Amino acid sequence: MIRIEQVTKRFDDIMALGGVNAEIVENCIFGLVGTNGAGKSTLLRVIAGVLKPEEGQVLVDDVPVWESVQAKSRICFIPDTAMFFSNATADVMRDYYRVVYPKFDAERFDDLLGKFDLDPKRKLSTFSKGMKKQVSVLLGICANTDYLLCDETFDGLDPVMRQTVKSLFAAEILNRKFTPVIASHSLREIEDICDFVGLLHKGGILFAKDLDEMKLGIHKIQCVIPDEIEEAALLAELEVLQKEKRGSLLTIVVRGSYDEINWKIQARQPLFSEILPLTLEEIFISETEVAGYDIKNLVF
Amino acid sequence: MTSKISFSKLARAEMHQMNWLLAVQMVAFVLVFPFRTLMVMAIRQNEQVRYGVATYSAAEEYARTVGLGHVENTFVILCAGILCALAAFAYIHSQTKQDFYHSLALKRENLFGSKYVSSVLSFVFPYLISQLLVILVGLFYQAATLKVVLEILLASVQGILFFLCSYAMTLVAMMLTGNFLTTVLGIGMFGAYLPIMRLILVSFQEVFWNTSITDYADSTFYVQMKWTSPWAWCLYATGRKHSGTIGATGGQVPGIGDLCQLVAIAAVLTLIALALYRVRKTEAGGRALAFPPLEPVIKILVMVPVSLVAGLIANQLMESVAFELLFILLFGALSCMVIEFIYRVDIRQVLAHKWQFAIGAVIACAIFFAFRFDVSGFNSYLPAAEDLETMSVSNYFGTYIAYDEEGGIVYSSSLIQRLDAIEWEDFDSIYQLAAEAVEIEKGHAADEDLGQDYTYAYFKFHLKNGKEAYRCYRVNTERFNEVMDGLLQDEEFLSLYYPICTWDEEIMSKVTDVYAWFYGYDEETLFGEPDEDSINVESESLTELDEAELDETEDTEAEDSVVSIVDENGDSWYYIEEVNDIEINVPVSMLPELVEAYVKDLKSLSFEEIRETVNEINFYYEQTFYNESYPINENFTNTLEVLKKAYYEQ
Repeated sequence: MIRIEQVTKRFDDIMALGGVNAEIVENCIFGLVGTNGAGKSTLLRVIAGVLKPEEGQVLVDDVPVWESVQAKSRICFIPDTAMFFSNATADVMRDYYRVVYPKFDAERFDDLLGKFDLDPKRKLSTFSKGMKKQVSVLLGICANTDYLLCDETFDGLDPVMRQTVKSLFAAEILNRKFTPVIASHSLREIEDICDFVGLLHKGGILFAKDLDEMKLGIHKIQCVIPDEIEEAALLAELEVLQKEKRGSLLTIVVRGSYDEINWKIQARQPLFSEILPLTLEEIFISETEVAGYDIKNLVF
Repeated sequence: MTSKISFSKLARAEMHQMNWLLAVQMVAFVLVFPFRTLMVMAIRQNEQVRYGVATYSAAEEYARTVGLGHVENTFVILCAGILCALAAFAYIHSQTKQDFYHSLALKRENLFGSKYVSSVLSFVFPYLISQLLVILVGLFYQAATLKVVLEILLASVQGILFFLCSYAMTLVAMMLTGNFLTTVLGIGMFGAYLPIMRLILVSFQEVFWNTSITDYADSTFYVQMKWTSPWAWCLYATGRKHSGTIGATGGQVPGIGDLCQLVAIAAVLTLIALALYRVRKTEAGGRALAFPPLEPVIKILVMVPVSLVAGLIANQLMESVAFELLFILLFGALSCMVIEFIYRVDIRQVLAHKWQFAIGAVIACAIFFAFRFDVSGFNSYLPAAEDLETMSVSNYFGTYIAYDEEGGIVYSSSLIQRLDAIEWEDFDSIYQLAAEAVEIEKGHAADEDLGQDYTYAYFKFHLKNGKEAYRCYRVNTERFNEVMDGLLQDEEFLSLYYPICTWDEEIMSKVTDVYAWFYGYDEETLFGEPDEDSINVESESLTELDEAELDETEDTEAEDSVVSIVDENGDSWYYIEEVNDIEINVPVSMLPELVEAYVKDLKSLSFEEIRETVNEINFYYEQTFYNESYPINENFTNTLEVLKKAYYEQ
């Protein structure tokens, strides 16, 4: 498990991370979302041991990651812009990764290169942005480390490749101890793959939760309750995050389990009621509004 | 379980990434070392084929071209050091590359080590191969003797150490900076800042401390310069051709001590670079400086010399305090703005941090005007007589031989060394002369020329506390002659002042050539009418030579001389006058006779009679171009007799 404890990182006068706490459990996909400049890349670089935090620490199974060969040997970091040697081909990078990642699976890399239709002998500098991304992801996966830190990995990949990479991640999790941490500015890109999600904003993490748990604990309800006293009583006993009324149709987002909410609604004898699932975006909007953030500017 | 990265595999992989560097160096070294040697040898062989004779033999030519003492080779090696360091550690200026390298499961020192080893090897392999090829060229031309080959190998070791010094110095500069531009400036600063500051200081001494003695011939100057930067050290170690043990290839053979010094420099600089590398933040990549607290320090360090040079230029152009101040402030401000721009890359911020400019301006003004107005009283220095151990006095004439600590011949025209050699305990008269000179200096500080009644005399004050001070004061010529006459009465002082007086057989055995030059003379003026006795009976009789033939003798060179006259109206006129120089080569066999005659003249002549000349007699040592020279003129009658004999015998 990666534990982030009170991590603070400043760049001159700019507070990039301010006392971030989070836990990344093993064999799950952790999504790190936030707007540009929220501190996603900085947090990943701190986790990877590239940056030293001014305060706090990052622990990999209770071992501080900074300057620890033991902790860092379990992490592979794919930055937003991949580092390839000048004039290098995929083969050259493969050979170098074999040296710096002792568990690197060269055969699998060659195999995957073929499946992705990437020429191992072609100079990487002639590849498109998406193709370079593919090579860097394949190098990261084949490094066979326990944790793979991906910064904006899906940025530049076409939908097919995006889905393929997601499948690869899923397959890796099934086959071995593997925990990808994916930073992205887009919730939609990682919604269908992440088990846990952390939301960063202005250097602080708003929350980091299990996505399913989050979805089970928050619901959107549309209902019509003719008696206004009954309606007011219902709103009073529910934990309402958002409320909107158009005519007689009441739309609310509330926190709580499905059964508990349904029982409370039915007790108020509605003419019509429906409990709808929330998208990740809607959950974040609701949660962050409660936290006092203008999520419309924050997420989209 | 932790999987560790193999250091050797990583170093090999890094080296593989620097194949281009290896190739570039291979080409450069082959051109500079074996190809150049091959060309030189081929040209020599061609000379021999075409003209039947070559300037040097194959072995001599080969020895002159390879091995020790070649500054141009050192320059190439120092450049290679810079290039390799830049190539190996350029990644610290790129965030993308740092993200990759610093996320690897490696301690910083291991990453440093692998980069260091791989880049050093990328120099060592092509360098040693090129040296091997140099030896092969020598063998091909049958010119490579064992001694020369050994010296090539020693030069190779020295070259690798030069490389390491330059490499490590570049690393230190790189660790302190965050982008390519500031790295290049940083390398320049480490390599040249202190030498430049030293030269600025010397310039200030020469301009404002007109009584100081700047002695470029004194080896101490160069010894001091070598401490100013690793580059200066390496160039000093290369250029010591004229001291220490000279090898077959013409350069000084470095001792174990010399090589250990280079090892120490490289080691210390490498450790500093490693220490900086460990504390250097990753986010420093891309910034101007890796350690922001250094920004004001470096700004002031750059601004001060720029301001000082500007002030000096203003002084030389205008000699106006107002202009000097203006130049100091103006160029100081400009340098500050340029540096601030380099720091921020934002033209709107070039005027930021004015307090740094203020501090720099105060320092620059303080230094400049302290020299300008001689605040320290340098030009009127006269220690109390009771504080003095010894004093020396001399007027500069010619050269004399001196030996360094290792027994090698050093620059022999050093005034400092000359004064060191004639320290005198009974210095009352010298002190009195110096006291008078100081009074003259105080009264005429602003006067550049005091006329013919005054001359320059060089003093050394050796204090009882061990301190030594050298000054060049203007003294009354008559008083100077009077004091010197008094001192030269003492045979011990005479011997110190004119070392020839104590020459024994051992010293004379080292003299290989003796030449006397008389400028603007012909034989009759110098020797009078030739008599039969002075002509060697075996040589052609002079009387059989007609005058025209005598004029054409190779020892008499006719030269045109521009002569200036002033007519009764005060107008200046110039005309060309043909004058003759006489060069006399005295056989070494006549040396004892010549020395005896010369010493006899020295003892009989007054100081004024000795020094009224521009002619000199030179004694060359061991076929080097170093010589000991002494004054000679028509007053040296005994010496002229010997020279006359030698002249007509040659």
